[in-house]
Amino acid sequence: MRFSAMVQKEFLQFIRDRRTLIIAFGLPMIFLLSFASASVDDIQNLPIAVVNEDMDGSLSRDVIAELEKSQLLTTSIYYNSVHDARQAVINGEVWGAIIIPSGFSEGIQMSRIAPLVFYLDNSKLLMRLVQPEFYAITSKLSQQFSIQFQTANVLPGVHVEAVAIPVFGTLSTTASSAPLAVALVLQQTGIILTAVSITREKEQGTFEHLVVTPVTILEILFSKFVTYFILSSIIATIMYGAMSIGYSLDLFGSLISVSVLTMLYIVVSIGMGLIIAVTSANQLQALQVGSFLLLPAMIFSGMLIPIEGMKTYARIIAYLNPVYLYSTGMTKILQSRLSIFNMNDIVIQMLLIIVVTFGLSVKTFSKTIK
Amino acid sequence: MTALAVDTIELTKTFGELTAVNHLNLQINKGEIFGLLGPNGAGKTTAIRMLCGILAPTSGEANVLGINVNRDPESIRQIIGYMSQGFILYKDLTVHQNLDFFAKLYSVPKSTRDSRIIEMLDLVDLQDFSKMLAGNLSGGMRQRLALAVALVHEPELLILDEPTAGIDPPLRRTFWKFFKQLKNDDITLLVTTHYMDESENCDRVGIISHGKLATVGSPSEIKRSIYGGSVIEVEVLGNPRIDEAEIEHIDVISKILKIEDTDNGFKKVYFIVSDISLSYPVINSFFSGKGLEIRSIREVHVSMEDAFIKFTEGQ
Repeated sequence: MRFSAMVQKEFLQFIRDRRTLIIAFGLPMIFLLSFASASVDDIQNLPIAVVNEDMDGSLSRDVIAELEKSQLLTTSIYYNSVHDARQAVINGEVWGAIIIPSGFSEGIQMSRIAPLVFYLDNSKLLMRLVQPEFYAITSKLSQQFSIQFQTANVLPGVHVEAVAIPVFGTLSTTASSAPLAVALVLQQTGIILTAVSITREKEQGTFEHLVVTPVTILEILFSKFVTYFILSSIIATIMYGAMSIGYSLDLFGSLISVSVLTMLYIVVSIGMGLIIAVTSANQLQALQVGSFLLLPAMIFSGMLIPIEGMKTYARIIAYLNPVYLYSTGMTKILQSRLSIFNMNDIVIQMLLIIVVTFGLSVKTFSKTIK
Repeated sequence: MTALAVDTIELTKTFGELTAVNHLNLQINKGEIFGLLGPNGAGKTTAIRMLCGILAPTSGEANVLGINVNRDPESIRQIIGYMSQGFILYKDLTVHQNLDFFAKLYSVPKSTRDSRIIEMLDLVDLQDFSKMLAGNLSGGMRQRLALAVALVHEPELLILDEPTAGIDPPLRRTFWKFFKQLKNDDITLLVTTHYMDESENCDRVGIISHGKLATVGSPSEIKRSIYGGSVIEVEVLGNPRIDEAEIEHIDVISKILKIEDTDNGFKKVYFIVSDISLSYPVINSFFSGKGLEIRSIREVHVSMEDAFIKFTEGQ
């Protein structure tokens, strides 16, 4: 009797709290959709550049044809110079560049051996998906040319030599994984600290006292923003400082870009925290929503599953994911030594998120009580 | 310049099907202590929150110190002080830090802020606890701190929502001493309370029931209004058979309320009279004329609790 009464009470409380219901059932649905849309099986069309220096050779077309058969890779852009193609890889515009060297066809026909060069973006944690595809293509080409030029088993087999060149040389895993790690930590601290700080005022009733004073909505929100911006900046400094000292992460060449992008990202995270705060009734709800955001933030970060391989709508979600924007931007800064001032797309997207989140927070946050 | 501190016109607030405040017309004079009484759920807190501008009314109008709260809620915040039903200060700040924080929110000038905080600590007798965390204070001390915070910016109108709820009688008495002191400093006080004895300290009282003002007036006016006059109890020996017709022609006596037997064989006759002092000789001669001996005659004090119950019946 007592036990069933307790169970019944628990269910009644659960059902009557509409926001908890949404959190309990709505968020798992979002996760399922996230996983489905970001499924690894669907990865295809990762962009690569091609430089054909063997324009006169008859076999370069076979190479390009073989590349175009690939489900995983798509030859998105042709360059005339190796330098431009390499730069495109460094800038993160493509996942890699395949160079068909001058004399490739002649080499195959005469010497039965010729190299195909692949400049790969080794700053990408997911390069392990692409590299085997390149080796598979060269292997298929070797077989194809062997059959094509085989005459009564007299000549030896053809070997298309795969030469993979990482554009960033030797990289530490810290440099590759640091942006994602910092992005996730800063997002969580920014969101949760801000959201909890506001919902705590509502829950403990101090908000009721605040709203009868002359303090304005902007002053309330801006004071929260400044506090948690400073705290998040300290956390970011500690994280990068530790990585710089402990793992020799080279920050000093790009300190301004690292700082500006990180500060921009902290503002984005606090903006998201404000939205959660103004829509949550209490600290528990704010914590739940804040924590639930972690998983989609990781799935759509581009660090675990390539964004380019996702379905269109999943890609749009990813492009709106601050973790993706930050880790992509920070990777470019740390690996390619790109300046923040050359990343207009990332900066504009972040600014848009800031305008939307802060705008909605100010509009939704009211100096009245329900 | 209006003489009213609060003036509401048909002020209404509904929450879905529930009408919490129903066409409330309330006028509070400047410089008075006005008590708002009502049972739980009568609409007191909702009305107060609308007056503070933190709850938007569904319809009607509220003017506080001449400012229309609906149109300009921000302007009234600097001139009102608010003490809520529960303790809603920062428990993780000290007594002094709470006072200092709210003084700054109200832009109390730096030159006078410290002295004002000391003044408030003295008023509520918390000088020795200024460094204690508010969360560690006893219930009574928390209420005293809340009052000090509500007063730190020298408001013209102090709105107190059940300020003495849950505190012991000596402290309740102290609070009312504070309130009278504040009234002497020309501060208008709007106080809600559950304690009927406390309401006797108010200059005027309004009883709210079902979101409407059931009655308003000084405590004595309200008590008198229950029966339409003062109540006189006359203890007589014998059996006073009195017809209504017999008293109809006596101006000072309005009616006979009831006749009760006593344990010692006397009868108690309760009259409603319009004037106490005039009624005594009239009643004496009335019973002498009937040959009945009067053992005692006295005024019966009707309590605010009687008034409260009468005006909130059915709530």
